[in-house]
Amino acid sequence: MKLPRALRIILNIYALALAVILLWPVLQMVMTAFSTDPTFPPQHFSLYGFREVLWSSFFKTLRFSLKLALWVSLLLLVICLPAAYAMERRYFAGRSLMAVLIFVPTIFPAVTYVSAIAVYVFVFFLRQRGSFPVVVVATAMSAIPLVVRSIQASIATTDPVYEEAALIMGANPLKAFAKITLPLIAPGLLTAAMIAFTSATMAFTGPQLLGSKEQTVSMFVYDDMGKVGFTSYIAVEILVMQAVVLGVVQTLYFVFRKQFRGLFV
Amino acid sequence: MANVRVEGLTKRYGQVVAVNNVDVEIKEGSLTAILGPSGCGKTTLLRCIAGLLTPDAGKVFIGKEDVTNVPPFKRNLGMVFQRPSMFPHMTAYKNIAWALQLRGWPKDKISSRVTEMLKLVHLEGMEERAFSQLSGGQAQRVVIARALAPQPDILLLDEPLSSLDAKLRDQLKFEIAEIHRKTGCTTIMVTHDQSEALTVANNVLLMFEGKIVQEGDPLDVYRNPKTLFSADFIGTNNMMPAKVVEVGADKAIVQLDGATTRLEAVSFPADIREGTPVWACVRADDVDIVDANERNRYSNVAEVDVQRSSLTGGMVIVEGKLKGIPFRIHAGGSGRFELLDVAGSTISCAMPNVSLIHRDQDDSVLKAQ
Amino acid sequence: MDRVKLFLLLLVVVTIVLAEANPIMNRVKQFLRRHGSTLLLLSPLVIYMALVFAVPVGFQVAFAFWRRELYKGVLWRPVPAFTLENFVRAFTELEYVKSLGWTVGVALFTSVVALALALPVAYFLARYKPWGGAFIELSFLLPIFGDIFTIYALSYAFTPTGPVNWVLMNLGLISEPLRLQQSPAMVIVWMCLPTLMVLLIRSAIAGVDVMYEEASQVMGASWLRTFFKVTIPLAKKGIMGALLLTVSSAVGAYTLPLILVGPYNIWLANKITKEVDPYFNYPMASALGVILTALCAVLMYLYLRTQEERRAA
Repeated sequence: MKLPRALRIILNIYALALAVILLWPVLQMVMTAFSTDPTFPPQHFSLYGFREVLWSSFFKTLRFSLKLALWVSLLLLVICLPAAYAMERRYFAGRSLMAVLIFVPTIFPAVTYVSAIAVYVFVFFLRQRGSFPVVVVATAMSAIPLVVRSIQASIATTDPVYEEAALIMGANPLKAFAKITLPLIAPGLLTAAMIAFTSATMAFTGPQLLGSKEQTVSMFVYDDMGKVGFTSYIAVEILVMQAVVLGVVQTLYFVFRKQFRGLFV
Repeated sequence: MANVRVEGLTKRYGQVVAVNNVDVEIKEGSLTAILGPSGCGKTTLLRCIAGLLTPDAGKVFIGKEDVTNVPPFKRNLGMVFQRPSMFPHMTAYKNIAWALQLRGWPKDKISSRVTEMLKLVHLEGMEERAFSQLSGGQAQRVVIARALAPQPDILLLDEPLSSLDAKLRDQLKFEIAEIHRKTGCTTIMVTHDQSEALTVANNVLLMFEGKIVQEGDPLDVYRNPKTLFSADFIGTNNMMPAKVVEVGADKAIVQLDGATTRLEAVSFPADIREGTPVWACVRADDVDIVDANERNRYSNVAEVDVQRSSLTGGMVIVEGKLKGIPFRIHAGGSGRFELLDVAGSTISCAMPNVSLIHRDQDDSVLKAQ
Repeated sequence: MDRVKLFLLLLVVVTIVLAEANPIMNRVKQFLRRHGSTLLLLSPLVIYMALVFAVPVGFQVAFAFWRRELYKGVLWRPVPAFTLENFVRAFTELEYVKSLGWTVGVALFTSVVALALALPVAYFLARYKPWGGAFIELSFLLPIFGDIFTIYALSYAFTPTGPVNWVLMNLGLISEPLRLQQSPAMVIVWMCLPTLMVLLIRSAIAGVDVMYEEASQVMGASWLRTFFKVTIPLAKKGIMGALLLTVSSAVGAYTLPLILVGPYNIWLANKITKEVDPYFNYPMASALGVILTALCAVLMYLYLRTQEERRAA
């Protein structure tokens, strides 16, 4: 639709203003990380925050979060990939029921089922409570719908003709999947892995409610903030946390890209 | 190389019967086209032969072996699909080499075989090209080479040309025929394009509503339609209601309904008797326009009152009425342009090839169109 | 003698059962041959969802009607009963009623405001290439992908020495820094800002062919009229979906109030976790969870009804 020029300019300014408001806190956080104290505008450039973080147990929790995220991502891919494949390529009774089942968790607040899982573990698996496998299995839940959906979407956009061609050429279904379908849906799998990984590193209360013996990084930062309030030291922690998550995701992306050149056009 | 035999094959999709109790044998070394309109079950039949679909009833034999329950990857087939199926994450070389690896070819033979195959499809020197660096026609050639490389028993072509543009389609059509001549591999091609089937194949199966309605070499199928559907689907036919008045050994004489005009037919069903209602079919391009004074030199001459004639380039279409029945002539040859101003007059037409089809059978086909 | 008779009878019964069972076994075998691989592919997810989602949520519903009991004087645990006590408490005790009303009220209010803020920018992004497009895109994506990051950044922005106070003071609106940090108002402000909603509505509007709008404008409708009479009705399905997602995530908001307001905030999600962790009152936590889930189910039902009406029309 053709809008009046003046209106278009107003809308553009409005969009930019919204963007500035949404991004401002983040930009300020970056500035604070490099100054001595959290006043605005930043007064003195300093790496004090970084030094503090290096000596704290921050990296221990970060390592735990990454470990958790890695296992959660692996678990999610193992569970969701075959199911997404069946949902997209097989026609069976109850397919739409399955789709609803997968969709249901998205509309329920995560807190309700996370606490349901926590209570369930408390009552029936008190001994396993807090063990790493239980934390991994429970943390994976919240990302299921998105992960299934994104894998399914990438399978849907891959023509089944490639698999059929491979079958006719003499590849058994497993080989056809590994050699043909898997590389072709790699970009979609990467997106799914990124979603899984991000959601797991961001896991906030879940692991704590489940009695995880180690702290996740976001919970550690929260506790620190409770203890010392907001300082540049906290800003550094948050910054490093984000940088590491984005770094892992970006590295994954480049590794995939190199592996499957030509698919990322 | 092997022949293919299908016995009583039936495949349903829910309530719809896609292939209905089909029996057919495809000879070793032939290039058979399965021709029919979309939705006639031709692709379903091909996919059953390929093993990509399991039939609800019936059997499929390749050579002497019953392969009905054999999965596709154990059938030793080659297949070219309608949609582009060259693996986009592999080069042309890899595409073909993988087909050979899967069939257990030794490493040292693969490289020479790939080169040989690429030469066959005129893609020398394009080994390292990926899908994105090839044109649509080149990619489809890679797929043909990939399908033929491991020397399959049967080559299946599922509308291999329909994703290409018209000019390329024409060119590749002849190339397929040539490749078949060179390799001699039993080939089954599914197509909805009659010119493709008639040009390329040496055996045509005409399919309609899940059944094979006519089989034969292309010329026979074109000239002598055996059913109303064949007459209607291939080319443009003039269908005139008539009754049989005399049946001979190699010809039959019919009289057009409501007229005294009599025609001699050379192709007719064996079971017609005197008085059998039939359609007298005359191909629109199988009509000669003759001088009224010399009409005795020809057989089957009738007068057509021309209503309209129009130019399409390659031919002139003359539309009119023959004893009140709509009649169409596709005139070729250098004299055709003179026909452009015959509207309103009457011309004499000789019809050397008249074929007869039972009139009681599936009239609904014509009415539907 | 009796034993022999019994044995023979048993033999007959077993034979009959086997003979009867054989076709059943065959059908099972046939089913497995056709659908076995599909079942195998689906089973990991189905088993996982059953054990980690369906069963815990099922028990949550059950626990909501149970009582709690002190076990060996050290551990509170739920014991089977059928009592509505938890629900009665949830709807009568002021603490819970306030929390419920506040959570739902804030969710509805902020979602409507966010929708109003999102519509113009979503339309603009769907139909035009804005100046600074990449920056705008990033601003809507980042809060979704790194929501914790953004929330922490926010909590910094509201400190007395943070940028919000700096701007207000430099503008001369206030003379002393406001203590914004622990205030629920900040949560409300942030919830009103649309992020995911803009992206969802944008794709809903992008799915509406421009042709319809052009036809409407050619027929003489103004852009405003066209937008409300053509674009919005055609994109209604996507817009309602976006609204549903926003409302249900606002109803279940947990992290945002926790970080911005603190551990004693009024939001319902926070009450649930407090019942679990420090109070160990699982039946009460379950009842609150069921209420929250039911709320979302009602929203979902309303959403589906609007979809159906659309289909019927």
